[in-house]
Amino acid sequence: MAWSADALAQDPTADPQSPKIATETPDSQAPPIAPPALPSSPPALVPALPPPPSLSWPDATIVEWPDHRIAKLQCGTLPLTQAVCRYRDYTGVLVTYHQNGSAAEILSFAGGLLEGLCESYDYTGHLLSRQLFHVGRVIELGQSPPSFNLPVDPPLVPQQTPQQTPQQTYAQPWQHAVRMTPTPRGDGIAEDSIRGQLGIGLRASIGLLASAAVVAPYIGSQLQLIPNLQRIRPEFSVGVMYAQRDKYHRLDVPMSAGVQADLFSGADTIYFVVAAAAIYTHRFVADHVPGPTSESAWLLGGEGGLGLRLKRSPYSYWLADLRLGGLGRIDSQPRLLLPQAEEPPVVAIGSQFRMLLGLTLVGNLGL
Amino acid sequence: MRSAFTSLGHLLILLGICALGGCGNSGLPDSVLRRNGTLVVESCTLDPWQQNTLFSEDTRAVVSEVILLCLYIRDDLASPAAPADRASVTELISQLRQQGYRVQLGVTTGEPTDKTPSKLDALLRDPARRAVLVASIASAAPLSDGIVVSPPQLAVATESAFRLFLTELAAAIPSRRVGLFAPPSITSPSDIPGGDAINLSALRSQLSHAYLMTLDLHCCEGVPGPTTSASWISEVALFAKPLLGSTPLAVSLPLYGTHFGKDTQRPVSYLEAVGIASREHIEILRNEEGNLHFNYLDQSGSVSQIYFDDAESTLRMMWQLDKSLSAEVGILYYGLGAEDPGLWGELKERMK
Repeated sequence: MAWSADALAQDPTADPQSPKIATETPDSQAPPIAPPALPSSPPALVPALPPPPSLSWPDATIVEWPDHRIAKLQCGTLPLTQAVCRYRDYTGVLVTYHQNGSAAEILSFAGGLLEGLCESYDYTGHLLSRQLFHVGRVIELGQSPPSFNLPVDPPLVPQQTPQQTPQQTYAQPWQHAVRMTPTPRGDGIAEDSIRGQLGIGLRASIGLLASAAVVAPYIGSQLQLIPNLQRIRPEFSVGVMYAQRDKYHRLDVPMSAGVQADLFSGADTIYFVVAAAAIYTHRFVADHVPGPTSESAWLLGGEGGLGLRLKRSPYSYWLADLRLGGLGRIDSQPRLLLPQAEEPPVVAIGSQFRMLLGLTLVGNLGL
Repeated sequence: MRSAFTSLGHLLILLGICALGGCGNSGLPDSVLRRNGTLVVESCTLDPWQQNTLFSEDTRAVVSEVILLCLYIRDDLASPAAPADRASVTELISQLRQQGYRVQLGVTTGEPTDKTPSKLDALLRDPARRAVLVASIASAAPLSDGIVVSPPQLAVATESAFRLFLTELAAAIPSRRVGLFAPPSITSPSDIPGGDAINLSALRSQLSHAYLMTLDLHCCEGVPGPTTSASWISEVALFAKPLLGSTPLAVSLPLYGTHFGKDTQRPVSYLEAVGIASREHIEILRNEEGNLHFNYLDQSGSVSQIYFDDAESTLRMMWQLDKSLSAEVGILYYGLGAEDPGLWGELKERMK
């Protein structure tokens, strides 16, 4: 069956479990439906409410379940939250219900118009949306109402000033179907996200460099740029690394471009990383010996690894990863050989393997 | 792009070097003890390099005495090696004296140190032949300021004959004493092959000077290594000193290096060693004691190793020797022409 007021109005008794439509008007003879959330504060106890604004808003349509609980309020064919209609002169909180008895909407009114916080829930009680209204229309994020009163306390004064005539203030109903952003979701994704557009990270790395000539500790730091995209995002790095073992000293300027791919969504996640890497390296002998004592070279290769991302704040996070990579020498300079004990000399800068443990603090820029 | 990275790299490297080793610290000792310096020339003539070195102010500031290892024993006679002759040797000694050097003539068989038996064994045991040899050496003695004997590896049985030879030789030359290149023993009986053929305590009254041949440390074991070491030199000198009594003593420092091939060894000069390293794109390493070394694949495909010294390694060795040897112990620089060209300048600057 179509879930519309028109369909229900044509045959309200066709389905005893279907909600019934009752049109409420100020001079209706039907008893008013008391808001279930305020049983102790009936409208009759509200002292000296000022008269409602003299507006020609259409009256809301009430749709009831067979047990007389309110199923929903409609403004024509639209829900009340998407168009401006008046629910009598009601001030207070009104609750609508799902068929299973759980709350569907909690609507705040002042002078018959939506005013304040309105929430909607699914059958299981999860929050679906939360919107803020002022004189019947949604207030967008960042917009401050001229004045705002919580409608919980009965003696609310409608926010009407002589300078603000209804005609000047209120827009047409179809202009108010604006949802607040971000919309809360039951799974908590929005609260779990990292905001910002471009991450700038400072990475500290420590590890091992292994080649035919040397196995040396490898330490350094890089600057990283990581656009804050979805589960797959690029990373760009440049920095300085240093390797030293005995008299083998090497200073590297590594550059890399790669991709981080999250294993699962969320701010705290495990990610894979693959990157293409190039290194400008300069090796030197920190000693006074005759003959060549330094050389420079270019290396090209790649790396891959596994890491952990931990949210630090809405705009920053930590990356901790382990990367393994291999690079080969690509320049055409003569290879300087390094003597080995009992073995023929080997190329001092040649193909190499590296393993790096990295810790990066990333701060995001932008909204 | 590349030049920018190169500049950045060089800047960081400079900072790194300063952080690691301290800018301006060359690793050389600030000073070493001033000791009597004697220089060995294995020739009767000087090539231009040797002449320039000997005539330089730097060398003259470090070296006071030159030994021309020039008289070769042939047919029981000691005579200048061709193409030099008595006249040319006389002329050379004169030139060296003009530079302020005291000049001695060295007597040698020219045999490899490991050749046994030496032809000198039989010669010395024969009194008649020995007398001829002594007479020939004595005839050359007046040309110089002294005679220095550089014996080959002798049989232990030749010990008494050698003692007689030196006694007779000392009696025949004007100074009445001879210098001796002595084997570098550190034990008794000697740990050096043929070392017991030279009895220093028995010879000391005949000796004007004892030069301990602290060279070729790894000559004979088939294991490549430095040509000498400070600890070994100290041991040798401390062992010999009580044997020699008041006889002036000097230890030897090599100016040459050693090329260890697959089956051969040969001396190598500093410049040749550096040249081989440059040709083969080999980095030269410096070991803990300061000696330089590297290995490379030679033309036969086998690994050759070269150990040699430069000014820094020599100075570091002298600095180590200063801890154990008194300033009276002299230095014999062996192998003029094979040294690091900067050696004499560094020695002059740092010898206090």
